[in-house]
Order: sequence, then structure tokens, then C-alpha cells
Amino acid sequence: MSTNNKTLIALDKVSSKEYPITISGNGKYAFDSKQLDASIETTDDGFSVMTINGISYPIEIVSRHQNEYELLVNGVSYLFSVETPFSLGRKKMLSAEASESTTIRLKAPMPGKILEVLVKTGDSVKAGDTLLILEAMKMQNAILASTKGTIKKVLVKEGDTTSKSDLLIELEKDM
Amino acid sequence: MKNKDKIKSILIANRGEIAIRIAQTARKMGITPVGIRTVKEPNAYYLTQVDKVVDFPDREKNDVPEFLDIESLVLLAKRNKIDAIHPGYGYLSENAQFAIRCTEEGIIFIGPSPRIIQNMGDKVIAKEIAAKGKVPMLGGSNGSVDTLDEAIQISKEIGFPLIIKAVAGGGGRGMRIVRKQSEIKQMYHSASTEALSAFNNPSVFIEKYLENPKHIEVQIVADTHGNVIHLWERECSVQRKHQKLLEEAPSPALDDKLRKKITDAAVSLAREAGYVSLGTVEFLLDKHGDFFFMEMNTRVQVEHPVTEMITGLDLIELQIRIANGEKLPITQEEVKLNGWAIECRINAEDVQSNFSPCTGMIKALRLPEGEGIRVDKGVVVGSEVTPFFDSMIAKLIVHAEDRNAVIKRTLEALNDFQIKGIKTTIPFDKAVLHNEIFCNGNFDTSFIEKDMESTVHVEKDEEIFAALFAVSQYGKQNKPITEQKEDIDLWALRNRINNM
Repeated sequence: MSTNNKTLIALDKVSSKEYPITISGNGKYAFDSKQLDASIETTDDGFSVMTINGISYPIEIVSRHQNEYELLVNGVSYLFSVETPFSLGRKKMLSAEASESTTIRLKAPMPGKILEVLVKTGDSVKAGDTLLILEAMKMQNAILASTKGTIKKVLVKEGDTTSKSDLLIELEKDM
Repeated sequence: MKNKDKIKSILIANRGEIAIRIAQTARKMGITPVGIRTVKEPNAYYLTQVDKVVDFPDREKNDVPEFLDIESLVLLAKRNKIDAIHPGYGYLSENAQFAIRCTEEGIIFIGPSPRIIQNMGDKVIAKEIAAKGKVPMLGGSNGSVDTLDEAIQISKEIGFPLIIKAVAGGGGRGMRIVRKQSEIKQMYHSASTEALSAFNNPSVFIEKYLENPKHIEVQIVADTHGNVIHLWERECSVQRKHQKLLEEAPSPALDDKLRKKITDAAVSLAREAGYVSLGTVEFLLDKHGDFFFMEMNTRVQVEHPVTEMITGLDLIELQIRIANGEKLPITQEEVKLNGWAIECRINAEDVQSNFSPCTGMIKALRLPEGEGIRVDKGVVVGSEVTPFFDSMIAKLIVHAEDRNAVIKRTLEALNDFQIKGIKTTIPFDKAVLHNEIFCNGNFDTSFIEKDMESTVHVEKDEEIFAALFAVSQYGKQNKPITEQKEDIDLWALRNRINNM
């Protein structure tokens, strides 16, 4: 391989699996010591299709934020951050230090109305406990605690209407 | 009443794919379909598929959703001299008061009489009728349960698990399963509030809960001349939180003997009820082949197309003709059972984040085509999927000669079905049809939780495509492939991690 090759690591944020991919330019990549010839095309009816070594799947970017991407392949969602070998090393170091203290900020997954708030500041909750009920699309959606912890702050009350991503509850993770 | 063509125009008191479905049949019959434009979606696709559009009238108060506003809808029909109203499914389709007001104003309500809607809508009276029709039933409260104390009392009598259901319910709303004493308070409360918001009636009743049954329903058609027939069964066991996701007809769980028993029971109940119009009798079927009456729906079902595919009949046409006072054009013996059909509901949902509703704009759309393939859709390119309405945006219905063939055809059709701009249940539908237990026909209502390893179907090396795609976009200053620049949805991410 030429010295111009660059390696970037796609980090699957759900499984924490790392995909080191070598880029040699002109749509040529390598992964797991396999040569990958990739191209992206836009169809007349507005879809993007990625072809790798003769196999084609529809692809779509749902969102991007700096080096983080939510992507769809065949309609299935993947969450990746793209790292350089250096940034990945630093990230691992930082996360080892930071794993002790965390406040989890629960946000509204979509616009809706708060039907019921089942917790108050200072309550202890365990993972899976219902914290509040959000009504959206005529369905009641329970917002659950993702971890064992203590309610730090409740920012909504019954009857409130919320927009997508509005902060609902702050949950302090127990040590 | 003798005039065969008394219905010349129909006001469709609904939206989305079902409004379009009704309009298609109306037009075929030479009847003018009239659609209603609302401020929530003035440019909706269904409005382009009707012959005439009327604006929903201005109101003093806007606290009731348009398609639940009885007086405004009746006024709209009267003002525009429309002969009949078709309510579709959901909304006012099972509201007796709506049928009463239509009748009072001389408008034909396309559906059963108010008395039948009332009786079947009241799950307690419905059970009394089923008992008279000698239809098997599960034990429970013999009436509505109006207080928490009463609920606790009944739970002590019949034990756990039990299910709390809305008296006015249907479609899985206002329903809660209670497995232990400590849960009953919250479940009773939430079933009741959900019932109130969905049906404007907080009453609930309690039934013994059957663990992991199959959900089988029988299509009934009855005219005003005393003819009652069935159009076979539908298998609706692929459900999540009582919401059906994929249906088929016939059911792989029934042999000819059981099929005869269950369809006979449905016809018997319909006769006992004095039923007229389209209707569906829902049953729970246990592992021993015993079945129990659950409820009767007095409207057209979302999943009616699978019945149309195997019988070759147009159910909406039958419904309109019956409302017109006509006799059924077929006898029971003439009803065919031809091949096998599957319906996939295409919902705007993020399956990987607990099926949470997904909103956005349809940026591109590609539909499957071919023999035996039907798509009933409520959206086109440019349509907005908003949080105001149900998440179902389309239905894929596929028909083939037998079950194996239809599973294969449906998978091919799903591969050709592409939607850009929102996440949908298509990868879920594929996972169901690839699942061995589903293919064996050995599934029940716990299928999604118990038998599916993954709720989405993943193609070979798909994650490598995703990884390479991400890497290929890294550092690009120019426009991304799609224009969205939103932040990653942290809630979705956390949900996903928790679901692993």
C-alpha cells in the first residue's frame, strides 16, 4: 500500500464495535484486509445507493453532528462516530476517567403532551421505572429510567406540551 | 327506499389511506366521493384522490379533533347536500351518537345501526349477546369497574394475570395487563385515562387474561334482508402492545374443522346481535384449539384487504350496498377461499428505538409493483408525517397461491419498497417474514417479544456499508447526501442501547 493511505475508525456507538477502514482514494477502501471498491450514486427518483464490490444497498444520512452520524442502510439505522487513531485513543482515555459521574438528561423523543409525572426531585428510581407518561400520536408513551439513580430535577408538569428534544427530567446515576 | 341508487355522494369522515380506499370504490360505483380538508394538513395527498373537497367549518372551540367532531361533520354533509357519510376506521366509526345524528338529519351512515354500534361498543353488553349466541368466553367482571377498590376486589376473585380494557375500546387503546397486585393501581389509572382520551369514556372492565394466545378474527357481512355470511378469518397475532403490525388470511393455525367452528361462532353471534353491515368478530385462540370471544368491531378493519385478496370481493362496495338497502350479491357457498394474502403495515416508526413514532417529510418514495401486489398509501413524495395522526402511512398487501409463495413474494416486494426521509417498519416486516417460527405458522401474540432475535432484518455486511459510508462522509465540507443537519437523537441512542 502507498504511504498516502489514511486509516479512520468508524465506531458503532451502540455495540462499541470498531471498524478500522483504510482509505486509498478514488473510492478504494480496505477493511479487515479486504479490498473494497465503493461508489455512491443518486437515482432519478431521489434515492442514494451505495455499491461495494458489486452489491448495492440504499443509504441515507438521518443526521450528522460533527463526527457523529446516524445512517440508514436498507432502512436500518446505525449510529457511528468517525475517529482518527489519535482521537479514538484519547476518547478511550477520557471515558475511562468520566465513567464515575453522570447526569442523564432525558429529553422528549417527539412533540407531545405530558399526561402524568410519576416522580419528584429526590426520588430513587431503578432502571425501567416509569418516570412520566408522554402522549404523542394518540398513544401513551412511558418514559423510563435508563439506569438506577436519583431524580435531580423534574422540568415539566402534567398538562405541559413539549417540543421534540425538550428536557424533561435530569437523573443522577447512582455510583 | 326502493330506489337502488339513493346514495349518489359520500362524505368521507376520515383521512389518509382509508379515505383514498373509500374514494376508489365510490368512484367505481358511480358515487361522488367528497373529502374533508382540515387545517392540520391542508395539502394532504388524500384530498387529491377524491372528486370533491370541502373545507372543515370554522369552529368557536378547537378542543375536539376534526374527525371526532360529530356536529361539524353532520353540518358539512347537510350543507353540501351529501347523501351518506363513511367514517372509515378509528375516529367516529364506532360512535353510536354519530350514527344517530346522521340518521336524524337524513344522512345515511355507512355502517351498522346506532343500536348495534352501542351494543357491540359496550363490551359488557357484547359479552351478554355472545353468551346468548353460545360463543365461548373468558371469565371476568360482569360489568364496568368504576373504582379502584372494585378492581382490586375482582382481582382477588379471578386472580392474576388479568386484563383491564376500555368498555368503549378497540385497537388496543385503554388496555393494560396486570400481573401482580402491586401494579393494579397504576394500570387501572392509566387504562382509564387512556380510554378517556381515546374514546371520551373512562369506563373499564376486567377480564381473565389468557397468556400468549393467537389473535384470530372472522369477517362478517350481513344485509338488511336477514342474510349473514362470513368471509373467512384473518390471522393477526403479530402484534406489539396490542397493535397489529402484520396480518394474513387465511390463518395457518386453523384446520378445516376449527375454521368451521370459529366461523360458525362468529355468524351465530352476528345473528344474535341482529347485525347489519360489515363487522369483525375477534377471538383469542389458545394452544389447545379452544377459542374465546374478545370483541366485535362494527366497522371496516385496517386489515380488510387480505380478505379482499382471497375472496375477490370489494368489502367497501358490500358495505355501501348494504347501507343502500341492497341484498348481498353472494351466498355463503359462493364465497371463495383462493390462495393466501399478507398485509404489512408500513408505519413511520423507529423500530430500533422501541417503535417510537417518527416524524418528517417523505423525500423519495419507490413502490413495489407486479401481479398480486397492492399498495394502499396515504402519502406521496413531499408529504409530511406529523405527530397529529396515527403513524401508519401505507399498507403493502400481497397475494399468491399459497403461504410459502406469499411470504417469498412479500419479501421481494418489501425490498422494492423504499422510503426516504423517515424511518419505517419495513426492516421489521422483513425480519418477521425471515423468521423461522413465523414461517412455520407456530407463532402467537408473544411472537415479537419471545421469538424475534432482532426486530429488524439486517442484510449481509450491512454494518460494513454503514461504517464505510460514515467514513466516506467524514470531513466533507460540501452538502451531505440528505440535507438534514439535526443533532443525533440522544434519546434514540440510549433507547437503542437499552434494547440490546
